[in-house]
Amino acid sequence: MLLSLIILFPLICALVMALLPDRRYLHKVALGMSVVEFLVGLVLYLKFDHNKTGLQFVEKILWIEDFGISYFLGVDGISIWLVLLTVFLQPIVVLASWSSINEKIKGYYVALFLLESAMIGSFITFDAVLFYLFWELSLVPMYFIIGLWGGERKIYATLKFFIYTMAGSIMMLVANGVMLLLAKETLGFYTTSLLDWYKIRIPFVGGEFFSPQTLLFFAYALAFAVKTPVFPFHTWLPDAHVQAPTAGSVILAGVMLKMGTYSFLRWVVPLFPEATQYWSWLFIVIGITGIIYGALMALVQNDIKKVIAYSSVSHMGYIIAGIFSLNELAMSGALYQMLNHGISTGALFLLVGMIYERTHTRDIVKYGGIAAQVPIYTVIFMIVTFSSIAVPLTNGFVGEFLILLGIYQNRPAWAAWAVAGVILGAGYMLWTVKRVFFGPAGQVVQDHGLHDLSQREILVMLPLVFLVFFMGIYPNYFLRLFEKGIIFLVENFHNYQLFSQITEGGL
Amino acid sequence: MKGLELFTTVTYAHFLFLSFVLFALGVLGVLLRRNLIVVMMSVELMLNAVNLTFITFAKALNQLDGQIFVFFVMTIAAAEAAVGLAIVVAIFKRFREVNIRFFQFLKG
Amino acid sequence: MKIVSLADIIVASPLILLVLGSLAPITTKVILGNREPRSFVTLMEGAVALVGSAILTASVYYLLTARGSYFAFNDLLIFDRLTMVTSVIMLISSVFVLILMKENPSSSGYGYAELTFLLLSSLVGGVTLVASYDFITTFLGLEVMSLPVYVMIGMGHDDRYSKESAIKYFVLGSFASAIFLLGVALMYGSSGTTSFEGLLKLGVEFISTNFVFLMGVTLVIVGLLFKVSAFPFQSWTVDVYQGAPTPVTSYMASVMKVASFVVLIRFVKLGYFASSTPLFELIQWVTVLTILVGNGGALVQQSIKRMLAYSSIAHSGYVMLGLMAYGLSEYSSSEELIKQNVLFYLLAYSVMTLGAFGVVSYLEQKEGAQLKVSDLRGLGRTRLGLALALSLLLLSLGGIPPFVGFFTKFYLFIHALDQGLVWVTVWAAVGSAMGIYYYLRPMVFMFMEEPSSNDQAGDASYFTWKPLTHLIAVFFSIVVITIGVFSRFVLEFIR
Repeated sequence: MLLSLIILFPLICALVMALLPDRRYLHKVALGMSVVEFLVGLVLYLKFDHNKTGLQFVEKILWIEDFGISYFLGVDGISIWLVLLTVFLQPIVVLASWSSINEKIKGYYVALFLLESAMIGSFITFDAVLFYLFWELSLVPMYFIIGLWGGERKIYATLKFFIYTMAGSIMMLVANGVMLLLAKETLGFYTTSLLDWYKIRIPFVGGEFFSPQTLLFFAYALAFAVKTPVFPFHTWLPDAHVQAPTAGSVILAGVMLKMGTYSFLRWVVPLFPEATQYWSWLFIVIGITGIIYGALMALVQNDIKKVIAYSSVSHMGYIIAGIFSLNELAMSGALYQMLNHGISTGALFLLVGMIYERTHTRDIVKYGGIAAQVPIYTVIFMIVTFSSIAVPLTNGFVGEFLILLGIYQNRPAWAAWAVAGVILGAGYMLWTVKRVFFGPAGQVVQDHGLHDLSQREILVMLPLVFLVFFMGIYPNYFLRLFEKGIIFLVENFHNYQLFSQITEGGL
Repeated sequence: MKGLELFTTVTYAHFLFLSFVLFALGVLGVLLRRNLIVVMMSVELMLNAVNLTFITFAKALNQLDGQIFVFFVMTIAAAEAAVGLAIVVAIFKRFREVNIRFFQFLKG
Repeated sequence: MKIVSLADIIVASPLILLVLGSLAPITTKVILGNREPRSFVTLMEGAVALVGSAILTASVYYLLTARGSYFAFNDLLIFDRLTMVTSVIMLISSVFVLILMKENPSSSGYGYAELTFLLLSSLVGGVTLVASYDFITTFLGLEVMSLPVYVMIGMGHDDRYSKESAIKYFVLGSFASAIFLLGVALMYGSSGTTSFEGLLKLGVEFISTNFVFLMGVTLVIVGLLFKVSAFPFQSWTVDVYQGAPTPVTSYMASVMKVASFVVLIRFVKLGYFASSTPLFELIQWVTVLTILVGNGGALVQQSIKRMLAYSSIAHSGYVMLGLMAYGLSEYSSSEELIKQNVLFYLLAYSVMTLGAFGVVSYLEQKEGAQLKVSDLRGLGRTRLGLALALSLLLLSLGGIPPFVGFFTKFYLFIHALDQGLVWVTVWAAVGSAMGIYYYLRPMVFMFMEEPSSNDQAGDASYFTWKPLTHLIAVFFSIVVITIGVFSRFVLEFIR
């Protein structure tokens, strides 16, 4: 029941929002409701059994019996943190929207809550059709959020976002159909439940591209690659981020991108183990390319949001490389990095949004020397930057280090390239910070007098800053749940070996 | 059949050939002619060609089915002609033209 | 030889009621001395006839269920589950069409009584068509269904568009009927029967051995493909849909398509697909091209009706995918299931199309209004309910979950894959993705564009009050959501 509640509650919130008149107090109502949702998530976490390796809170109801489609929900060590990330970010996003969303408030919150519901749904569902449903469903509210409350080229950006993502996932639909039929053949009955599908042995021939497993593998991988995004399917991301309203960017970077990477871990790797093994080199290469490409592109941008957008691409490269290194270290690192990225990049977008509200420009050229005017802001920005760069004591360090260690384990030479990405990452972030905060006072300072963060804004950033350090200093708190989840993944392979080295905290 | 018999004896094949020729003429008429009345005539020609086919087959198979079908087709063809001509009259009243080339309004 | 018995009359009673009902509006008009009766009266007469007919159909079927199917009039008609379900769908849809006609400026006012008469007459043909079990009745049904529609299109109040559409549709439609008829003649000549029953008994090798028969089958299929707007016979659809009065368009796009597809379903059942390879390859190409042309053509359209016309072409392609799967499933266990899913698709498609055209009908303020997509600008502000309704319907047409459009498409994909039609399904999926853009664009205009000063949709007072149309659109959009989720119940009905 708890899981259904978590999905259902935002829907109810959306409905309530839809019925209330469009007034300013809606902001507070939304905040209240999102906090309640967060509490529900906390309850889920508290009741979560840390020692079980399987799925918990399972709900399974047969929905469409003709095809064995069922309403199948469950959490394990991997998904619990992603669900928590989502419900955690939601109140923060709501709080941040208080000042930036001034018209059509009602519609905005309806979309936001629908989005939350869809995203959580895709994290906890274990049925293929239900998953596809939530996956596509999340596109619609995002489409509206960007399209209605976004920047100047919002229409272009939002259409690109929607069509690109949908086109990517259409092959997954076909693949779902094929898997359904394979299930009928090998298992004897129609089913779309993931746990049943784990048992299917799909024929695989190593060298051929057209063997069933490879085709299915790429069909799924394509859908998730567009969402993650993986180079070269990332081109929708900079536009979407730049044109989206602040809260939209935060949710997009903070949670929606994780849908892609999580799905790799949950769907692609266990369902197609041979193909994953065979093609892992390709994805590691692509991942590392993404790291470096994203970093390089970030270096030359003049729009702060674009810098952060490309840094997202770069970070996602780490995660992909980590997942496809296929050892426990790297996978733990990748999962950890998913959480980190949600927090640090989400925080970055929030900060950019705050400064944008004051100056209405994101052009770095116009900035400079604002540190003197907004000291608190500067400090927080620096902390989040450190998290993004992976400075020790921050969460970013733990994640990236684990990933690098994991990549090094299997392919030492490639790890060197990945490390280059770390350096580049430090490069573009610090350079951006220097240009924006330090140095001679830029045009922005001369035009507007910048005032520092308000209480509300500090309140928004505080939890994130806290987590940066907490996750950096005591990562084991989070990692041990991952460990169980990864063991569960391993146990579901039928002929696949994960190198199971249980490390304590990774530090 | 020997050469001369082709032209002196009438068999089922002749009937079928005739009806196919008529049908083809009708098709060409619909596709190529510009005057609406002529187009409608061509459609009627096609339907009657099919009637001929039916009768021929009915006789060849020694059945009545085909001939009954012809009755239905003739009735429908008459109704169709009536409707079609009504539309043509309405068009003529409005546009004073029955040339197909005239109808470009709906393009794009 | 059986004589027409009382049971036959009972089974045909829905048709009889329809005929009588169609005469009612005209009679009322005559009684009133050739003045147009109040449209509400006409509407009621038509609706009563339609709903009564639907109820009769259902009850007749359930009364005779013992036999599973019932042949009437010496095996010319068949009243099985397919007939019953489809007739009910068609009849109820037509009630909505009548409502649309009442309020749309192109068809209300003078001529409404005649339009009702024509609509009901067309339905007589339609029900005959879905019940037909012999080519005679099929041809009869086809023509009786189409002839009144030619007139309905021509009766639109505007000056030029409707007349042009009428003559275009008439010429091309008669042409296709004639081709269909030639096909029937060839089939008859080579097999000696026009009854589906007889053709079933022929055995599937017959088509491959007898060339004349093959030609006949091809021509019949060509004629039917025209009716359902498949490539390469789809070009008439766009122009005719655009020019006809919008309620008539909605009738064509929903009811007539459903009826024509039912004929194809029965025809496919005769088993010609699997056995004849060249024909089958051809149909595959036709399906893929239909989907691609439909989705591709809509991308560049400015006019809403043309865009929806192309969308309906694409949907025809998806149904054909399901038909192919059905044809291939001759001896497989899922044969019944495929048929039910195809029916489900047709039902959902009717609802979505009627809703979408209903919204367009609402927005038309004068006769001959050729609405562009950009005319939707600002609708989100003035008529939020309508805008939301259209959005939901468009999303459903596009195949986005959780609406019913997604589920139906997905089921057909599964069946096609099951029967081995992998490449066709892949292309269908590609076409589907391609099409998202034009389904999203109206939403962009409705919600995200600011209305300029002289744009109509943004002006709240501009629309005349069309309560019923409004209601229909919203109702359908809700239906679209719910039956996506609760499709189990609908499927039970179809089963």
